[in-house]
Amino acid sequence: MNLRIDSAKVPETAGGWDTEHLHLESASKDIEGTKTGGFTPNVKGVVADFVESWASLVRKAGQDGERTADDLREAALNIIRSDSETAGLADLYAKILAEQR
Amino acid sequence: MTMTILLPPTPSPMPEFQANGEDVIGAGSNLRTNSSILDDHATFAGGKAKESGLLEGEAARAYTESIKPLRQRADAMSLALRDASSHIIAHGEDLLDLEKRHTRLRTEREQLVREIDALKARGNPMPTSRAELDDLADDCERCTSRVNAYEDDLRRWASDLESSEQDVIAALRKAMDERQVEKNYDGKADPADTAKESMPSGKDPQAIKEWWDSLTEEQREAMTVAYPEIVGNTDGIPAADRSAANTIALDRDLAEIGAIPKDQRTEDEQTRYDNAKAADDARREIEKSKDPVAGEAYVPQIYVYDPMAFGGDGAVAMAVGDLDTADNVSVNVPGLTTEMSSAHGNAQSAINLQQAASFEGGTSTATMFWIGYDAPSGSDSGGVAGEGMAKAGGERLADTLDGLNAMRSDDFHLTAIGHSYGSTTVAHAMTDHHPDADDVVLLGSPGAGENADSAADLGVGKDHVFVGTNSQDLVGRLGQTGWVSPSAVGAGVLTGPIGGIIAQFGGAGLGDNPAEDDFGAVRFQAESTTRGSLPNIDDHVKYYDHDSESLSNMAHIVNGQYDQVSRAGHVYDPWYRTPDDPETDRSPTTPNTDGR
Repeated sequence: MNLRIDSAKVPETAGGWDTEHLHLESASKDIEGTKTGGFTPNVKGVVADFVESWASLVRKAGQDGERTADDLREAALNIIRSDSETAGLADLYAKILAEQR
Repeated sequence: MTMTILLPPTPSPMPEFQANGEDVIGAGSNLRTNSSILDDHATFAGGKAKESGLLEGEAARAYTESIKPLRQRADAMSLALRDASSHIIAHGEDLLDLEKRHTRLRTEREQLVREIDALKARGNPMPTSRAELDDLADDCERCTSRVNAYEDDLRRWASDLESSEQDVIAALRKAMDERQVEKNYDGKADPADTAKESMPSGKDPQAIKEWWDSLTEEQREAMTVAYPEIVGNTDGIPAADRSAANTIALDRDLAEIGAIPKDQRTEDEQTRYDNAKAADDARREIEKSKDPVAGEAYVPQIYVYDPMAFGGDGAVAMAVGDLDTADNVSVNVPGLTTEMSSAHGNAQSAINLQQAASFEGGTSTATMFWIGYDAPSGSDSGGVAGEGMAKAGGERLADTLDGLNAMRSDDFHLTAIGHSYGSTTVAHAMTDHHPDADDVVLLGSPGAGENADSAADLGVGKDHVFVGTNSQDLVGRLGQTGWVSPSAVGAGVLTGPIGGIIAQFGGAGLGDNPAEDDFGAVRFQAESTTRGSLPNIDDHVKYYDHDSESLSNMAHIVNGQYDQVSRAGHVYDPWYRTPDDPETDRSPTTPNTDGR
């Protein structure tokens, strides 16, 4: 059997992306909560726009990471399924790959 | 003869100044912590994420291609947010300065307006004598000069405000959206990387200090955000910079792991989070405490933050006061059962000592608790029976003391204080590594370590080795007096006379009792009004209590007020029976240590 995936590494890396998603989601919320009250009126508006924009940018980066994790899992499962010698293990491996976070 | 007297012009009114520099710095710091999270994200995307587990074929190639832009974007975003946050923090500092100048200018204007009104009154009616007219003319001229100077300062103030505003606005507009981030930061070299490459490889704090000083402000800022674990824990780097880095690392840990549901955290993540929470609690305890004389809230400095050190016991050191500038600095080393989770209690001890030092007249003090070694605790509590952990801890402590000396170019007063097993650790630091300290304090000491036969061996002069031992402190009785170690006696009781003799000659215990006369240290009064009638463990944990003899005396030592230290009689071993402690019969006192 010539397995074309490292069965332990895939869930670890996909899980890593999931964790990054959580970190970035949290960072996004934190950025969103940045207080602008201390700035002068000339600057306050620009800071508010910046904060709003960055909360969105960081959230998007997290979501892209999450999508990468999903794609990686899908790719690994497709490889397992496409090989007649490992296809029978696909359901079991899907459980191992299941998103934890 | 006609004489013209020009009244000074009315000074321009002060514009409203609606800003709060501290809040702006807080906003910038918040964004900076999040830029550090992005930096971690970039590190993941460029490192571990590459190992997909897809070993070959189109899917593996597709994955590799798909993460490239994510990594590039993460790199650019971390640089962009870091840059923006630096400008916001700098703007906040500008605002603090502008706020002070605004207050000064407003006061100056009020004075000028009053003075002009007074001059007007002096001219109505006009004085008739020549001398009075000359005086009025001179005073008007002087006042006019002041008004002109005020107007110059006001123009400069307004111009500086505008310049600072424009600077921060320009910095933010460089990174308002994804397109701008890509245009201005994609592929840009990280100044932290070149700075890190030039970092000295050894741990010589003097070399580290020179390297740090040689970096540009931009590089130092970049290092602080990109490598907070390095900047925050490297001896020789100034305390304020270490604290900034450790604050980022601590806030990042709280945010990152706090975002993971508790039931989904790994054991390591939970340990890191618990230790981060403990450090946060200590930080908050310091922030809510106040100086008893000035009434101002204390500002903590996080000198060490390493939540996964020592197999998860963690390492943390935090100061009350400014380690970079204080005239008197003390490093407080706790003992048995100490790990990062006990940071809060240690912070309280440091606060108490800082308050007492201030109350006793110290005007410039920094008090640090240092959980920077693997103290006997939890599963390795058995280590308290031997000196191994104290020796290893002593080496780390000596590095810390060397680091404090290296980061300061001035001559300051440094006191190393060890409590319980921490006193053995302090003694080993001094006898084994000879760091430069002025005073050593050993509290409730179970022994001064195998390399200290006398106070002189600690290298600061015997008159600068101070010992505080409550006469009923059980641990304070464990050190060897005369030629018999209590530990050997204990071994003899448990295993018989041969066992006791073997233990004695095998070096059982943690060294000599430093409160004994033979040791030659200065023993100070450290009794408690709630002292037990028999040796007990409760009296081992009262040394940092407010209104206690020991805290008052430690404050005097830390302040260098040696004449005000209340001396105590030494333990004396007549060899033919158990040792005498003259302090047992003395009535304890309650000196006020915080004015309450």
